[in-house]
Amino acid sequence: MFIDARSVPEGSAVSSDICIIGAGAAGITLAREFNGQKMNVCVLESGGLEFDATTQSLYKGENTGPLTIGLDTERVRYFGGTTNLWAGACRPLDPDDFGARDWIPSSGWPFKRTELEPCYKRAHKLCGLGPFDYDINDWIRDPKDNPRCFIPFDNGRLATTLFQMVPRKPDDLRRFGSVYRQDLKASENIKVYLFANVTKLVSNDGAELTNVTVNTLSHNPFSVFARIFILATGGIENARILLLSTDIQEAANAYDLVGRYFMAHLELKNVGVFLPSPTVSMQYFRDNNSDAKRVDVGKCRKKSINWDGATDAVLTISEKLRHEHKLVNFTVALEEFTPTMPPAPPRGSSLSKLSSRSPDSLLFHLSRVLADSDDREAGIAKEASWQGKQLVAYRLTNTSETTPNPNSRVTLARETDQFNCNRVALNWTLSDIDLESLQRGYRIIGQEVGRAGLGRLRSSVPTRFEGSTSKKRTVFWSQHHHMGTTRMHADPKKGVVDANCKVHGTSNLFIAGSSVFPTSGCATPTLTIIALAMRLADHVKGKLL
Amino acid sequence: VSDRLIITRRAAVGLTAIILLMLSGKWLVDFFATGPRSEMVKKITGFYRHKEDAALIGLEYLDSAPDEADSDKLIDLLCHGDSENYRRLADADWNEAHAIILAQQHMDFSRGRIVDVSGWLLSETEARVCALTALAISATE
Repeated sequence: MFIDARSVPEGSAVSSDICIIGAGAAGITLAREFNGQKMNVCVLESGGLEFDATTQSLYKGENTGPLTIGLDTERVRYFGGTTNLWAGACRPLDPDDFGARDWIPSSGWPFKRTELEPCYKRAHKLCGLGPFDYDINDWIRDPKDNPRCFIPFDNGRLATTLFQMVPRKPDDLRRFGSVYRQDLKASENIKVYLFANVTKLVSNDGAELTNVTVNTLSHNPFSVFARIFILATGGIENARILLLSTDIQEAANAYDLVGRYFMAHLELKNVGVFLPSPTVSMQYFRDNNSDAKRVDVGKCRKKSINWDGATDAVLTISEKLRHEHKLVNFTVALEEFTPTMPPAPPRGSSLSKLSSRSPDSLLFHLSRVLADSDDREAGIAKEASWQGKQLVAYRLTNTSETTPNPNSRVTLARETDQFNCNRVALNWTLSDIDLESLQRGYRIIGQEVGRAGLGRLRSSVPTRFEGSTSKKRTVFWSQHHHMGTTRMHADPKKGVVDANCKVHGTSNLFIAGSSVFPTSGCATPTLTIIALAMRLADHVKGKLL
Repeated sequence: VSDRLIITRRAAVGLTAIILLMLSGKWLVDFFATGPRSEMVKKITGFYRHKEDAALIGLEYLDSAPDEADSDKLIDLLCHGDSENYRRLADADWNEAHAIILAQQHMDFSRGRIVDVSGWLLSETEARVCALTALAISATE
């Protein structure tokens, strides 16, 4: 059932077994898991069923750090949450993302990936994805059958991995607010309150939550009482609501951890160029780049993959090599471009009269030099294969893990919102290892493509960090994935929630969403958010039933 | 003149001769065994047909390694200062020389001997062959 919270009488009290705060990917997944169970569930959603600018403005806040994110543009505040903007790319975190890595301070989850895999598989079904298998060799046919299917980056040191894309037809399964609206509307044990903003978590003894205070933009505050509360308002807002709730500060924030360790996947556009050797087939990546040719990519799929959804292929470094060189986790997307090939310098040209030197002109000179090398290698005296044709190269876009940093944090700003609640202040800060590791990582990729005879790489990973402002955007971009502010750790001195996502020091407050991620990996987080929500639902059902 | 003085003078002359022989030995060996270095330069710079393209990359490399702007030094570096490598390259015909350079390029990548030329990650060998090509073209202008 859907209820407009603006119609709830001021000062009234609503009772439920479970109160879910937030109806995004995590909140809706939780609600679906409880649908039809012998428990009453109340879902509190700040927005309505459509976008509303006034409600969205509640997300406004202040960036105080060297890096900025769009606090009110990277998150969406209506039913469905940020799935309303979701591109739908899915990949689980890698197994080693869960482990403690001695070169990344504060790394390590309280459980291994194997613990989450059953829920990952359920999340796959919910999202309409293919098999829970991301090994390219299990997907792609032998290039002997079809040369278009050759995967150049797959030699045990460099690897190619996949993102599975959530299907958009016949239903757009990315939009949880649309796809699952009817399920929740028809549910007999779930009540979804729209336009219901939680302003405070209330506790009498500081450890057990009794109720939450809810308000609407019509200003008719009321209370929701429950046995169990699950905060599912996103990677930033979860921390903000905890910080706003003075009743539970002593218990939930005993070690001043709430809001700290904010992480966001770092996107660096045009961080390099890959120039393939003329003899290397890049057809799979070329097809993969083009929406029009995705069907060709599908033709490379093994018959055992009984799924016709789209995938995106990205380059990565093998786990072994990452550990050997103590690198952060990252993936590299390749975007084809075809600069116009200028004619080769005339033979016997005076060097001083040749074209001006620049990294871009070097691309052309290097392409011809590389073709010469390839010819020697092949033992064939021929002109470069693209002589007189268009040169094909690939721009690299990096998506990387950022490491947990206690100084990267969410706090409360002085400015308040329409409910007189402090807005959020975000100080997003990187650690030295984040960039330094990428510089080494791209050098290693350059070395490996050279070693394997695949081509040459140009790296332009910045050597130092420069902040971005609204006036000057640098190459650093947030990928809208906000994580870590209520991190998970078995030890209350090191984490806000325990392995079951229960807030340390409290008895009935749980957190769902990416704010519990202790490390970010480099995979898009939504699949993990959904899997964790399913795992949490199992745990809560075990407690209540 | 005492016998001791005669012995001392003869020892000094002998020592000087030995030192001179040692100093000239490498050049003599190189010269008689392999011929002049200009032949070597021609052989190495023949690796790339697109010499002007190679030369422009070479100039870029020399901007970051100006102390290598010397043909003899580049040849020594390409041979890793090893007279055996030098002899092997010098004795090789053109095709063999190119195979040696190609193998060395691959070895560079395997061993992490890569250089940054305006962001492009090249093997030390290919950067130096390009630099040698640049110097060879410059010398004829």
